[in-house]
Amino acid sequence: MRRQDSSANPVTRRRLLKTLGAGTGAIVAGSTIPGLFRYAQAQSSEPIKIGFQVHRTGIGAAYGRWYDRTTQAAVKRINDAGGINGRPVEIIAEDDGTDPKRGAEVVEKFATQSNCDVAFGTLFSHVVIGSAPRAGELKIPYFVVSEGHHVASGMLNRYTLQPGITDVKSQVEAMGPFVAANLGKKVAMIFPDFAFGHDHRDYFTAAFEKSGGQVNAHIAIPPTETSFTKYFPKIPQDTEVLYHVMVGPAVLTFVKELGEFFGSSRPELFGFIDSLEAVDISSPGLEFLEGTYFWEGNPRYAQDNQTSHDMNYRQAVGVDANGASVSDAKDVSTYAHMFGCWETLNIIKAGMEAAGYQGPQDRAKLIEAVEAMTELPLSDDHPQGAKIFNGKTHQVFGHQYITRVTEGKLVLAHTTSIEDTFYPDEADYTSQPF
Amino acid sequence: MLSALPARAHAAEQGFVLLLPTDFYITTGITVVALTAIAIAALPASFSGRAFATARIPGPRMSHLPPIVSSLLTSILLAALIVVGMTGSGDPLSNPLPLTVWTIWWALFLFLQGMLGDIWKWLNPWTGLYSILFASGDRRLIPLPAQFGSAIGILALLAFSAFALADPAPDYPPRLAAFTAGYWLFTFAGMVVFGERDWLARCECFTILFRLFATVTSARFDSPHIRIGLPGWQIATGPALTGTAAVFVLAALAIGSFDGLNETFWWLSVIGINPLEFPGRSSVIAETLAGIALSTALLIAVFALCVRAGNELARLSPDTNNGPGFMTAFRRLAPSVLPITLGYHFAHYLTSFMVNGQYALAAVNDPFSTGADLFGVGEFYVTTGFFNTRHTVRVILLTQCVAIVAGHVFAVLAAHRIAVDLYRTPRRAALSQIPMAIFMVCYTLLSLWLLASPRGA
Repeated sequence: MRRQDSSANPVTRRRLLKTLGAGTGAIVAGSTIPGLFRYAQAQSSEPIKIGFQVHRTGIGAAYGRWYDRTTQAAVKRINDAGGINGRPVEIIAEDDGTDPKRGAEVVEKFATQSNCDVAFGTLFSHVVIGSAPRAGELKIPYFVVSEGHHVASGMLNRYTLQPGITDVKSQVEAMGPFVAANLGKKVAMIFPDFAFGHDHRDYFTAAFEKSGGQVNAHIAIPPTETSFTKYFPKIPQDTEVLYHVMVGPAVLTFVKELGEFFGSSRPELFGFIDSLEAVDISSPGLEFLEGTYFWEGNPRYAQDNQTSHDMNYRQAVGVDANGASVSDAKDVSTYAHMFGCWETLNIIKAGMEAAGYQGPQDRAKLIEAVEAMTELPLSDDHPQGAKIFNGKTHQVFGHQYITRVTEGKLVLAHTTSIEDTFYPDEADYTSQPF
Repeated sequence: MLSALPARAHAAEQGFVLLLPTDFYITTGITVVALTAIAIAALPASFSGRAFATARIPGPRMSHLPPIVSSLLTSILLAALIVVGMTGSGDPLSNPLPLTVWTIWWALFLFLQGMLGDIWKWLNPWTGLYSILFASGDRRLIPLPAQFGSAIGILALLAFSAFALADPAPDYPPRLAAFTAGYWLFTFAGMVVFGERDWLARCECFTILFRLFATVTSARFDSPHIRIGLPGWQIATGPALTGTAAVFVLAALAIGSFDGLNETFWWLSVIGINPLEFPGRSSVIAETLAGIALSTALLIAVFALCVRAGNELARLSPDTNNGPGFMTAFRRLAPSVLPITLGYHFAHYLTSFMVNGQYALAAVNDPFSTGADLFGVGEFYVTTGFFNTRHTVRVILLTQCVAIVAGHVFAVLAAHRIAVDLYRTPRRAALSQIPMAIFMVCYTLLSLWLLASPRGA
């Protein structure tokens, strides 16, 4: 009862938090409400524990390093501003090895051993898909930053949410109108022949044809291929735009061979930065990309219209105006994705504050509070841009950025509206019981 | 259809490697090794003898006391690390235990042992405590049967490689702490029951491996002198190993090579894995275990065949009919691959060491992941920027190639020197070494190809 009393009285609570924030417990000790004092002291000494499921080893390690760096910076900012509900935030980091089985073990450890309030983190879809069922069984909120469509598709559960990064379906579909209106009506798609490439093939083809364009070729490249010249003759002569999403170690070879094949008379090129995330766009061999277009989740290079929010975010994470580490200009970050960690942690904070979150017994309240969120304005909490959260599908929607390689930098060419990224709901998690 | 982001651990580095003229590097490397083999066969027999001659220079006089203090300090450090591993951060790049075990000890220390000689004698975590508890080193409850040879050591090495390569989470601090503590106890119990000398020399796989690596070094400390020669001189002029110790040497090479092979597109295709969508170590445990077993068996078989073929070829020479037996030749020649193992170890671990070494330094500064800044370095960001430029990637790759080629060159030289001993006449030694030289040239190709090949795991 005391707990409810305290949270039901915002004036008292806010004053109390302010007092605690100043670190002067003695003043609180003089409070005329002894019961509240006991509660406040117990709460103030106990941090909010956020289990951070991170790709420390395995194929996701390069992403994990930047997810970790962004997470530490976001938590430092939250703690510097007084924590969550006046309590400091503690990150409990565990390596998932970029492995679904270990991912599930890590979530279990968060819930049963380290007494985490929520689980947060990971990127690779197969780890999310492997871990989410365990989070549902153990009833621990699981905030993912994976950009996969698996959350909004309805295959996961009420405890899994993706409020800090948009999903690949909305990203790809939002490219259709821009490409049709600005680059050309006939597109040939070249993509690796597995799920990642197939998503692009299916989502883009549908969206592009809806925009009045025509995909004239689907060129699927076997994943083991490391030389591509023999596939280029399959690109039809009348192609106006080549859509490419090659990934893996042979990406630089792909670009080089593409340049050798087309020379100076190339079609327009449109790609996803996933191909070259954390790769220096001014690397030798990538000159051929000059003048081509990329989707970016968040523009790597600080733009002319840079907001103070992006500036503050870069500074906190230690990233310079070129998207590289402030300590090493060649250490390019995973800028298009890692903002998702920053924004998700701010959603957790806002959700816990809205729910009056006190401990694991309030987990359902936290989820309901996040489900109730809709508009998330551009701010220091959301430096990538304004967003709209869909509580039914547990998926956030936001602006997408299209940049053009100009003198070796990615310069903003177009920002989609949030509405461009919408598609009909495929799930309603709020109908599932807790 | 569900999207999974594709593999991209240091994709830029591999991207640049694929753009470098690796075919040229590989051709150059195998040419150097092949020319070495031809030259050493063509030169007078006295040359290979002279090549491995040693010089004796005065060195500091050291007491013959066992290295009790340093070993005890290692034991204390290890105990502290195990406690931190059990109770500290679950992040393997913050917790000092996995960083110490895999980055400092396994990657760096094993290499230093091969370059500097037997520092493991001073820094192993058992002998100091053992000396204090049991004054006499020869004390034992039960003698270790001689016919076991180093068989227990081979099994321990295979078990270790299964943990390092196939286990889903060898970096996970509590898991690594349990394995480390368990192995420490297992070894100490073995020393108590079977005696320190026998257990360490024949059953403790790390002492066996570290002592073998120490024989690659060019300088050996023989108080009050230092003997210096070409790297591998101790192998070239040393005694034959036992049969099981020879098998141990080959197993160590095979496991090292498989550790590179299992990341390649080629291997992933063989086991039916999309190299751009590696599903995680827990999905390939059986395949990895099979790979360790198969590559070990295959390498031992191929090496044995080369020794046998060498024996047969030597018999073609009319000088005399008395060649060494197969086992004698096998036991003498096996350690000649040690420089290859050392060179490959350096090349394989160089890139991960460049990254995880930074994490290790950060962990020294903040050993309990509490945000401490013991050395006042302030905000420290780990970087992988050197994987992001063509120039630095080329320097790294060429450094790895040089290490591998050097290892093979010293192996060829040592094997030839051993053959001169075994087969007595230059003509028979040269004939006997044809299969072995072909083996080593092919192994150069394999080792360099592993560096240049696209990787997905």
